[in-house]
Amino acid sequence: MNHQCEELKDSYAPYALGALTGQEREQLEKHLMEQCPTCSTGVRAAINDTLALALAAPQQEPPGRIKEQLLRRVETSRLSAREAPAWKWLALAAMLALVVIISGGVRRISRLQEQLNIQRSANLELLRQINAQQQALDRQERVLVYLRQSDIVLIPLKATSKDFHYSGSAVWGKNGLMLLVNNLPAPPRDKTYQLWAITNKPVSAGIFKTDARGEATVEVTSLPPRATTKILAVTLEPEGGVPQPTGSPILAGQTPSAP
Amino acid sequence: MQHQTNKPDAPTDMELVAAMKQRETGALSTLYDRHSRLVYSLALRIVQNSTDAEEITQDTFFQMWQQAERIDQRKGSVLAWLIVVTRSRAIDRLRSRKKLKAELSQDLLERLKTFGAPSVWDQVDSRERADIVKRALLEIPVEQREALELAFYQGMSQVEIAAQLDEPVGTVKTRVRLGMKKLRESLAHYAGEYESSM
Repeated sequence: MNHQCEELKDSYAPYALGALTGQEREQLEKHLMEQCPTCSTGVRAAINDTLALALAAPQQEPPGRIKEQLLRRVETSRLSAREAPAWKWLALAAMLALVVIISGGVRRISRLQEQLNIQRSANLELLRQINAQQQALDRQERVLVYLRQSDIVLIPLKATSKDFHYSGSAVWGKNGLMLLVNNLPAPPRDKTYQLWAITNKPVSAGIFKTDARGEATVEVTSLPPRATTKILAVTLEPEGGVPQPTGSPILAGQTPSAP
Repeated sequence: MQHQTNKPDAPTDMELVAAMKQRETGALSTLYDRHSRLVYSLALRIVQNSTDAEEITQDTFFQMWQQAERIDQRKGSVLAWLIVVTRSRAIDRLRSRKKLKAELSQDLLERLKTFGAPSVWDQVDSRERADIVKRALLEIPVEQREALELAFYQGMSQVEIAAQLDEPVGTVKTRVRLGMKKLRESLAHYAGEYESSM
């Protein structure tokens, strides 16, 4: 163990816990990248000790529905990968829309993976991007569940002002509606977005907020009948939502059945 | 932490991962039955919310299904992979709830990829492992244990822990270092005690 290793050994434990920050972390990582066997072994041992902490969590049985949902999700992903679906053009159109909506995807992950191999020093930042893409893929999986419904319509939602670039899509099937929103800034602290199904009057279909990337994926099961819904619209409302809209729509789209 | 089952004929975790690579859902089902309790309990301990814990559990096993090709025994066991991914997802959820930048949680996954390896108590039966860890933790002075738990379950840095406990950063660093040292010694002691009783 050289002098530098001696200095760094107190960092093994906090590094393994993810509790080391700033210059101390950079110093250890730089040294590890130099393939120091002493410090690599020390960090490895500390990581294994850290993982043991997971077993100290109070043990609880998970609800049975998780496994059912997991296996259904897996089956859906397998079928999606294997089949050319019978509901062809509509799903295809929806999928194409999704490719745009969920910018990125598998190809981008592969590209990032290659970069990782070349650019070890930048690996943490790239991994964060992969994680974001993984979340996007998770989102896609959830949407695919909706797309597999036998009777779906795709409703594009556009910004009501040309000055804004946010957009959305709704996939509406017999089991409910999934709304996907993009580029919509997070609402102010005391506000929320609210979705409306407009028949002969606006009916609230729920409230939602967008994330830091301006995205939201909202599943709605309580809705008026699709046949009588003319328009889907989104307004900005006070926190918690309101029974009737108080603001003008910022996003709106006509249902295909609307005249 | 290679999981070993009590039944001699039962497939190992890595054999099940190999079957998952062949897209056998039965293998995923078996791995889920084997490890979901730990995954769910860890997620619940971190996020303190059963709805979030359910989502994290499902997402973690789905990620394992999708990324089975990337799980490599040389880089750590299946159980270690599950723990790292679960903790990463749960702390991301926690930080996103607190509107903090999710920065640290991915790190451990990367560190596991690089350094993960079997530990001294790998071969200990799963049923005994939680007891061993709990006994080992009880031997750590309470203020050291508190620092370890804030780091592991809350994803806090030493600086954040110091602010939370209103203690100097140097004090927290000492607690983390001594706490982990004691944990390692106790784990080795109890794992050895278990092995010698077999």
